[in-house]
Amino acid sequence: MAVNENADRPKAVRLRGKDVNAESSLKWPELYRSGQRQELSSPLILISSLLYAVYSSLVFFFIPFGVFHNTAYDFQTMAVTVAMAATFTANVEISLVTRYWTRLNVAAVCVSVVMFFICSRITHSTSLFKASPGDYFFLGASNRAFIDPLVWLTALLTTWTAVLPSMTALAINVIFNMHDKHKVHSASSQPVELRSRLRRGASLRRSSYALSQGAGPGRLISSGTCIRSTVPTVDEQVTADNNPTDSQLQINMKNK
Amino acid sequence: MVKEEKEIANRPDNTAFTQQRLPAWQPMLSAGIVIPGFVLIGLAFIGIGVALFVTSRSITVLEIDYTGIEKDSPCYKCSDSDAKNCVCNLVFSIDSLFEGPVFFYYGLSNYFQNYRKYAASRDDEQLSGDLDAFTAPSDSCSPYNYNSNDKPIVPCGAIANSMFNDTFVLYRVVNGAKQLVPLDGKGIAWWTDYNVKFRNPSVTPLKNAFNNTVKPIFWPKPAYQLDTSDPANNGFINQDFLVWMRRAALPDFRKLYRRITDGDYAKGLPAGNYSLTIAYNYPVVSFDGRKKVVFSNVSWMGGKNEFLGIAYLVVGSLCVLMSMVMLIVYAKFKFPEED
Repeated sequence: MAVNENADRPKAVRLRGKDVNAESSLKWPELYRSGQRQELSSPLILISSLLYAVYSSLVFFFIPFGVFHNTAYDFQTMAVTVAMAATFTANVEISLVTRYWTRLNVAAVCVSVVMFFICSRITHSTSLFKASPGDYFFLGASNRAFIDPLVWLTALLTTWTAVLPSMTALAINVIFNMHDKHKVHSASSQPVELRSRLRRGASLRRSSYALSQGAGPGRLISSGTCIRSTVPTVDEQVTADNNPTDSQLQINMKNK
Repeated sequence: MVKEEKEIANRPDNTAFTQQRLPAWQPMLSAGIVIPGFVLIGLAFIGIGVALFVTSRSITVLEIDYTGIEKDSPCYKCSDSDAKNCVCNLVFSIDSLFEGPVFFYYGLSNYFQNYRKYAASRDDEQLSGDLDAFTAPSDSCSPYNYNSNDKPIVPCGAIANSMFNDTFVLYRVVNGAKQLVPLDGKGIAWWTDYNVKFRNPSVTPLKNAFNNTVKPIFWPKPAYQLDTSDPANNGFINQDFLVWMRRAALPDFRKLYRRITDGDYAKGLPAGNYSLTIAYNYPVVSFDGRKKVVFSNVSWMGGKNEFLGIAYLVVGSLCVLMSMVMLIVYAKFKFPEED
């Protein structure tokens, strides 16, 4: 589950992040440098995400284990504690990644937490139990767990411990990068003269994004015509003499 | 022309939401916010940790292992697997008033009530009084659903079958004479378990509901004889049965047996000598388990729990330490720039 949550972080960034208009993109190229350098999907990032997921899993189990060891607490109370900690941790992680707090973002986080409590109360309720005793057997667990200070304190401690590496990384990031360099979007966007030094077809050093959005070969890339294998099949070899293949067309256009 | 119209039709609406012009707050974090934040959280955790630790220290707990593995243990003769209906006597003394209300638990260790197959081995329909499930117990209870003569077992499953059946009687020894300490067994199980989850079949007398069924193999008496003196404590709603059926979280656990709240002992157990008579029926030696009795009083945070207090103190100190380190690093990092 921890791995799943970490995998959702890039998704969350895409959903919550703000898009940038053309003038701002030209003005601040460092915004898309991390994509060009593949910084977000490098092996180092993947391994550190995996290690972080393992760490959080261990925290989610062993802290409640230490608290409930040799006590009269039962399995369902421990389950509710771990679920509470996991919900809080997921929401904190998403909050750390969110850069733009619109009302929607605030509402999403609040609704997420509140829905956890509401859904727990519903699935642990008498009416659902009476409808299907074999499925809803957590009857009464949240009644006692949500008013027990020990459960809340354990969930709080587990959340903070699981979130600690992310918080530390954020703190170190803030300390080492002077924050005034990051006032990217607060400055009003002034009209920027669109002086592109790249002439069409002048050099092969264009980012793949730019290439895919440009005219000519751009249309071919965006429409996915080039995704087919360029190795001609038996049928295609017969007609190869008559029609130039797509890859040949592309090379011709590049060399203009 | 047509293409332009298509493009205009596909263009997103010019609202604040779709054009990402919503008013937003962007947190501007700086070292001046982050480092004091860590210090504050660290101090808050240390405060909570101290409160928990102090509360936990004020709780008294008395644990006595009575498995009887050691030769000098009073229950050594009972730990032999061949001994039947063995009774042993534990003698202990209390130095000062054990403040009440005193909770009397039995504890088991190396007992995995959280093992998946064991945990699934129950029939909740049977336990909620459904007579159809009496004649046809669910398959999840197997192999504890039918006995060797193909008669349905009620209540079926491994959890019910392994019900704890040691009984305890506590005496206070005053001037050589034994005074019985009254133990209160009412309301030791969850309210929802007693009133909603477990229901006796609505047949009077209760015995008739169990026709053509057999008791669990390990039980000495069938379910409708669990407490013949009190019909509100008989059958599936027997408090000891409910406490047992509420599965423990971890292999070392305690379950509430009785409370000591009545009469002379309302303020707690006075100092003196005590004798606990145990009817030793439950075998744990075969799987290296241990049995113990635990006397404890409770506070707002439940029983004694030193782990939570210490964990909060550790995490709080770690946060404070980290913020100190970050402060030093920040100071060293900042000053070379100003030069």
